[in-house]
Amino acid sequence: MTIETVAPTDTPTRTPTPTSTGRRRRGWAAIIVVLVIWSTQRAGVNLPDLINPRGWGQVRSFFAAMVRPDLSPDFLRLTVEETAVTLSYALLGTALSVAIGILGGPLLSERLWRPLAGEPTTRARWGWRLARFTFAVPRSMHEVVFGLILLNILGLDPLVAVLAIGVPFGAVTAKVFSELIDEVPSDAERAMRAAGAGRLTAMIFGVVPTALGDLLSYAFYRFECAIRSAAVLGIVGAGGLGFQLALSFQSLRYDQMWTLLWALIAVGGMADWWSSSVRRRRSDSGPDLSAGEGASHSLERDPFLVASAAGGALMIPVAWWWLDLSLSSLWSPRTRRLGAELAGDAWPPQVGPGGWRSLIADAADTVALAMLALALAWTFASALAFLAARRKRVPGGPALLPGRTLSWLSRFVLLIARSVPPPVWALLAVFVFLPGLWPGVVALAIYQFGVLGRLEGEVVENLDDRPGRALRAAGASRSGAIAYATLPAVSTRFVALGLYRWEVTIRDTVIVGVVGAAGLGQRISEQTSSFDYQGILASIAVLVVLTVAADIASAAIRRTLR
Amino acid sequence: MRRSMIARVVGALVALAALASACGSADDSAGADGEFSGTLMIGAIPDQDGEILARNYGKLADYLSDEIGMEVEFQPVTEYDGAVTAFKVGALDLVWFGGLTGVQARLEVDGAEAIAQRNIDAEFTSVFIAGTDTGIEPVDDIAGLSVLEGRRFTFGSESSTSGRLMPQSFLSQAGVGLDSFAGEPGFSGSHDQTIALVEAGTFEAGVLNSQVWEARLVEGAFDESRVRVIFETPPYYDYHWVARPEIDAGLRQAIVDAFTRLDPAVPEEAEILSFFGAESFITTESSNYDQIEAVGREIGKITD
Amino acid sequence: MLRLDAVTVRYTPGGVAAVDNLHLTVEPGERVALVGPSGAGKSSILAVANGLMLPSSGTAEVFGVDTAALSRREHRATRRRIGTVHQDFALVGSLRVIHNVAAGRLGTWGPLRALRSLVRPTDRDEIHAVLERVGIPEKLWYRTDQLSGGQQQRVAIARVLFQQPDLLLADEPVSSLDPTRSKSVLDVLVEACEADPARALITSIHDAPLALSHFTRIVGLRDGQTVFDEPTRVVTPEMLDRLYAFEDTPFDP
Repeated sequence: MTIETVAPTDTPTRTPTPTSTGRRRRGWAAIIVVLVIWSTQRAGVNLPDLINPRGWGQVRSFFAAMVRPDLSPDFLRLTVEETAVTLSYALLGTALSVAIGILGGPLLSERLWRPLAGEPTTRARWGWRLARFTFAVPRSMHEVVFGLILLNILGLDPLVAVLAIGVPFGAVTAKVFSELIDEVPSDAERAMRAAGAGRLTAMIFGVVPTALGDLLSYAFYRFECAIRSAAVLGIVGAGGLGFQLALSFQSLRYDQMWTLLWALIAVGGMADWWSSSVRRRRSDSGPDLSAGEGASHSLERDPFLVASAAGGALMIPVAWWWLDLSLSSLWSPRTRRLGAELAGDAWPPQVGPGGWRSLIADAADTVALAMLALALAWTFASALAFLAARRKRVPGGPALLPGRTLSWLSRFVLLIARSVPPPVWALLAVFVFLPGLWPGVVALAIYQFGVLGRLEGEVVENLDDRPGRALRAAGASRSGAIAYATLPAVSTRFVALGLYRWEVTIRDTVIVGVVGAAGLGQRISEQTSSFDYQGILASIAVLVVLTVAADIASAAIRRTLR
Repeated sequence: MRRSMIARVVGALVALAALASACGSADDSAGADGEFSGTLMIGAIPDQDGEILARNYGKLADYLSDEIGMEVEFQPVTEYDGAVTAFKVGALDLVWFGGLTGVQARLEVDGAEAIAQRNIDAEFTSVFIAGTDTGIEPVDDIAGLSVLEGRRFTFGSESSTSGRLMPQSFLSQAGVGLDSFAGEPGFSGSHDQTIALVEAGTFEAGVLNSQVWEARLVEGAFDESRVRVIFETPPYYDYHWVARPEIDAGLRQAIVDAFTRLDPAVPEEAEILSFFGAESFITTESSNYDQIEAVGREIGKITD
Repeated sequence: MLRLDAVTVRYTPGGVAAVDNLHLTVEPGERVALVGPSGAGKSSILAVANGLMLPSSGTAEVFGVDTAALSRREHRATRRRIGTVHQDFALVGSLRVIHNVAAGRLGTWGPLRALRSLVRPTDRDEIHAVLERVGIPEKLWYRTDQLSGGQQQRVAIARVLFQQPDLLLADEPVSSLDPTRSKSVLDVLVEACEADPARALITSIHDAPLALSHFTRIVGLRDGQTVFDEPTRVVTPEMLDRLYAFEDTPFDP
C-alpha cells in the first residue's frame, strides 16, 4: 500500500533497482520456459502418436458448410430468436456485473481502507484483504461452473445464465473498478475528508465521477466477453445460440451449425466493434488543451459513449421482457431448500475414486493444457497482431504496415477464432488429433488466439508509429522497421497481455473437458454425470487454487515488466 | 433545467430497480407439493436427433395438451445431467430419460415413477463398432470384447445408457476395464459423434445405441467401408418417461393413455412418433430398471 | 482555536524535518499569514492543522482538543469545522462547478444525500450567491476542468465559503491570480472570517504587501522553524525581505 500525502517535498519511495528487476524478470522467464517444456513433454511430442490425418475429412466438411449454411425460413427464424436470447443473457449479465462492480469497486480499493493520515490500522488491512479474497473466489470460477451450481438451485430459469455471467464478471469488474478508483488523483477526495466528509461520501463525490467514464467504457468490453460467455453457457444447456449449436453438433448438422455460427460471428463482431470504438474514442480524446489535466477522463464530452451507455441501459428492459425474467425464484422457499440440500450434498468435499494421485494428475494436465494453449495462442497472436491492427490514414510516404485488405482479413480470422465457442473447436480438434491433451490445447489456443490477437492488435493501433515510418522513409524494409521501431515498443505490452490471459486460460480449461484426458474439466464433467457433488466441490476447489496461483504469479511477473 | 450525466445514469438505474421489484412480485410458478396445478413442464434428454425433437417440441406439447386437457410446455435440455437436475428441482414434471438418467432421477425424487416407453425400449441394444482398417474383427460373445484391450476406444455421452452404462458393464464382464484401453476412453458426447470419430480414425472402436446405428446406415450418413459392427449386446431396458410425484394417479393415467394411443396412421401423430424413432409407446414400471440401477451402482454412476 | 505544541513533521522516519519543534497558537478572530521561502514548512503546518497529516512528534490541538485522542466520529465532527483552500485546488475536474462547491458541506451529508445531490444539486441559490462573492457566478453549470487555473482557484475558495468553517486554512490561495484578483480573493476570505468573531484564518502566502494588508499577525518561517511571530504592525518589509534573502545564510533579525 502506498500512502499518499500532500507533501510539499518529494517523498522518496523504495524502488527496485534496475538490476534486481532484470534478474527477477530473467528468473520468471526461465520458469515459464521450463513450464512450457514440461507441458509439451506431458502432452507428448511424437507426431504419429498425436495426429490423425484421416480426420481431416470431417474438418473439411465442417468448413465446407461455412459457405452453405442452412437458410431455410424455419431455421432462420429459430436463429434470430436464439440470437436475441443470447444477446439478452449477455446484456443482463453485463448490467449485473456493472452493478456489482460499482458497489464492489470502492470496497476493494485501497483508498477506502486508508486513513486520512498515518498508516492503515490492522483492522483496515484485514478488512481490505477479506474484501479482496471474497471477490477473488468468484473471479476464478468459470461461468459454466456457476451455471452448474445455479441450475441445481434455481432449476431451468433464465436467471441461471444471467447470474452465471453477472456474478463472476461482476467480481472482475469490481477489481478493475477498484484499480480505476485507486488511480484517480487523491487530492479532491482527501480534501473532502479533511472537511469532515465520510469515506464513502467522499468517494462518491470525489472519486467515482472521475472513474465512472472509464468504468462504462470497460463495461463495453465486458459485454463483448459476455456474448462469448453466453454462447458457451448455451452449450451446457442455458439456451440461446450455444444451445442450438450443441444440438446441431450432436447430430453433426454442419449446415445448421454454420447458420448459428454466422449469427454468433455477426453479433460478436458488432459488439467488438462497438466496444473498441468506445474505447478508442476515449484513448484518442487526449488531454484537452483548454482544460488542463483530467480532461481525458471526461464523461460528458463523448456523446458516443453517453449514447452507447444510454442505448445499452434502454435495452435492459427489452432483454428482461424477452427472457421473461422473474426474480421471484431468488427468494422462494424452494430455492432456499434446494440451496441447503446442495450444500449438504457437497460438503465435505471429497477427492473420490483414484484419490489424490488422480486429482493431482488431472490438475497437472490442466496446468499443462493451459500453458501450451496460451503459449501457442500468444505466439500466433503476436505475429498476426501487426497484420490485424487497423491502419491509420497516413498522408503519403511509405506505410509501416501492409495493406488494408490483409488487415481486414486477419481481423476476420481472429473474429472467427474467438466467436466459435471453444467446446466446438475441441470437438473438431478431436477429429484430427488422437485422444490426449492436444485437442483441448488446440481448441483453447485457437480461441485465445482470437482474443489475444485482437487485444494485441489494439496495442499496435494505439502505438505511435512515427519512428517506424521514419525508418521506412529512410529506406528500411517493412520487417526491418517493425523489428527496430515497433517490436521494442509493444513487446512488454504483449507479454503483459499474455500473462493477463493466463488465469483466464486455466479457468477456461473447464469447458474443453469434453473429450478425454483434458484434466479437471473432464473430471468435473464425469463427476457431474454421476451427481458426485462432493467430488465436484473438490475439483472446483483445486481449479480455484490453480487460477488464483496463476493470478498471483502473473501479477508478480507483470510488476517486473513495468 | 440542465441535468448532469450522472443524473441520467442514476435515473436509469432507479427505473431499473423499480422494474426489477415489479417483476419480482409477478406470478410464482406452480410445482408446489400436493395436487398438480398449473402448466405441465415436460422435457427430454438430448439423445438421438435431439435437435429435431427439441425444435419440434411444440407438436408434442400441443398433442399432450389436447389429450390431457391442461397446458403443456416443452423445455429442451442439452445435457443428460441437466435434465436430471431440472427434474430433481421440479423445473420439469415429466421427462423423457435414458435408462441410467431415469434411475438417477427417480433416486433423487421420492415417489417419481417410470410410466411409459417405446415398444423398442424393452429390448434395447447397443452396438460396438470398429474401424475396418484397425484389424478388430467381429466377435461372437461378450467375452470376445476383450479384443478391445489396448485400443483407442470411445463411449458416447457419460450418462448415456446405451452409449456408456450397459456397454461398460458388458466390457467389464469381458474383463475389459476403463484402464484397459490405450489411454483413457473418450466420451464423444453423442451417438453420431461416436460414429464420426471412429470413421475418422481418432478412436479405433466405439459403442452406441443400435437404433441410431440402424438409422444412419439407412441414411448412408457415413462410409460403410470404414466402420463396421463388431458386436451387438444382449437386450436391456432403456428410454422411458418418468413422472414426478406431484402428477397424481389420474393425470398419470391420462398421460400414459395419451402416449399409448399415438397412432402411426394419423399423420400428425406419426410425426411425433418419428421424432422419437418409435412405432408406438407402451406402459412401463420402475422395477423394469432394477438391472440398470444395479449396473449403475456397480460402475459408480449411482452412489447413494 | 489551534495550538501546535512542539510539533515536528518528518516525511520519512529519520529524514529531514519539514516542521521542526514548532509552537504556534491561534486564537479566534485572528488572521495569521504564514510567510517564508518554499520548503519552510508552511504547507505542512496547514496539513497538520486540517488533519491530512499527523505530527511525527508533539501535539496538535484543534478547538481545545488533542486530535490524536479523538474517536473517528469526533474527528469528523472536528474536521467539519475546518475549511481548507488547497494549493492544488483539490477539485473534481469531471464534476460541474456547482457540485464542487456543494462538496463543502459533504461533512454533514451521508452517502445517500451525496448521491442525491449529484443527481439533483441542492442549495442552488446559496451556491450561486457564494460564486458571486468570488466573481464567477456565470460558471455555476460549467464542468470544472473547463475553467482556467484562476477560476478553479476561486471555485476552491467558494467551496470553503459554502462550508462556513470556524477555522479557515488557505494554502497559497492567490498564487495563480493577478494582483487585482488576488486582492479581491483575500478580501473575500477576510470578510468570511470577520463575519463571525469566533472564526480564524490561517493563510500561507508569498506576497509581502498582501500579507501586510490583510492579516493581523505574521509568522515568518524558515527550515521548519519560527523565525518571527509578530502582530502585523511591528513587521517591516525588511524583515520579510530578509526572510527570503539567501537560503543558506542564517536569519539575523
